[in-house]
Amino acid sequence: MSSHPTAFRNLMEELKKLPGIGPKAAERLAFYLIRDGGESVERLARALLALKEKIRCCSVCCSIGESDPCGICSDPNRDQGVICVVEDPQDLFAIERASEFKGVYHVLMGAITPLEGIGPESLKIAELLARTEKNPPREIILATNPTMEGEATAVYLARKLKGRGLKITRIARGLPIGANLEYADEITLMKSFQGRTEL
Amino acid sequence: MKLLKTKAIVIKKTRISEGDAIVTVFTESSGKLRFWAKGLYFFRNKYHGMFESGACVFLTYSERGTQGLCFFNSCEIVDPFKGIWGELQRMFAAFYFLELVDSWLKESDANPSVFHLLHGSLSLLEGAGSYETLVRVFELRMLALTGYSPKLDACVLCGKGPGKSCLCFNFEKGGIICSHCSDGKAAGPKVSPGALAFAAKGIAISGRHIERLKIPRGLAQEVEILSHHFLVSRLGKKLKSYRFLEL
Repeated sequence: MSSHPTAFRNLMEELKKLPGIGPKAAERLAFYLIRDGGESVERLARALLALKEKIRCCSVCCSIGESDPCGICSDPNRDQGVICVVEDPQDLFAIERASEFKGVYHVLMGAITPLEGIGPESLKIAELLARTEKNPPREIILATNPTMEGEATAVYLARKLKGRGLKITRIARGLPIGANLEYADEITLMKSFQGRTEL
Repeated sequence: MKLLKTKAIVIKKTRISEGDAIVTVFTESSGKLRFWAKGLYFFRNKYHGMFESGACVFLTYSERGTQGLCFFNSCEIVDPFKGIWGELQRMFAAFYFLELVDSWLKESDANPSVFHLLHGSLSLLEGAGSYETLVRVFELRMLALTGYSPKLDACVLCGKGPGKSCLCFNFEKGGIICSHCSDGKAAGPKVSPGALAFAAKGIAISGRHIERLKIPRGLAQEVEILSHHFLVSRLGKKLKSYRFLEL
């Protein structure tokens, strides 16, 4: 039986539920939080409550935001005619950091993963199909991860969206900046050659 | 620590932290193994794209530590099965093969024959016109190579040959029951001589001849009983990826 105080133990139990946190890490984090007389606890509690109160799912792109529709979907300077489909909100924020894409997004909240039984019905695919039917965009960019699961999701979406007269594209796959050709795997090299561009 | 080298087919990888993953592989010499791949999800990791499900790799690793995980040393891609990528049904069939191997075999249960079956089936899948026959043959060969082959040449109760009479397939007994032994009662789903003949061929066939086999017209459901449903009854659970073959 744990000899920790009840409140401390409860905190550890909640922390243990977070991904990648085991009992030892939970204990270390809990001790970290109480070390400065509780100020860290208050800041963290306020941040968690704000997350619960302010963050909502955007009814247009299915991403997260503080309003509905989210900041990107309601921005008049964004090109509503180009939709970039990503697996997770993290992918959306990664693309936004690059400041290259000026269209809007659609977040699937995962990828088709047969080994875990995650099928199209578990993702925001129906929402994407309804959205594109209501307001057909000029182009849909499939930016799912270049994994087997991401590839399966992209091919499935392309099949579903085909025949609607939309331009459907897939993000380029190939060598990352700073990579060494010698260590690149065959699929990456194959995709790099398929996606080569004229200089 | 002794370094071991083997060919392996990647079954799956599970992310455990920002950069690390637990990778499950099916090796030629040591069966199913799990190892910890540190920093795999970081872009600069040279093994970043190598552990995709279904890829055949040459692996150097050291024996398992206290947590039952092997220590991965290096990896080279032998065959990425490029032809599977980009075609939905082929990808789903590959996922099904991988889940079946993962569920059917225990860790460190070495079975080189199953490894060659999986490798050969993924190769055939690259150029397969119809994946359905390949899936059924994979299931039947898997049963046969692990000692669970269904008894199809004689009634499991009286031992008499099937002849042309109406037969039932009994999951519990693992074989066919003749109409005389079943005494008019339903001892299991009915199967025709055509389906039995296909299943018998599927069990005995070697890799390079699989493409010659074709499921007889109208018998797909009966063949599914003898292969997939029997396999699931032996496994005791449904396979998550199976329904994707119908998508």
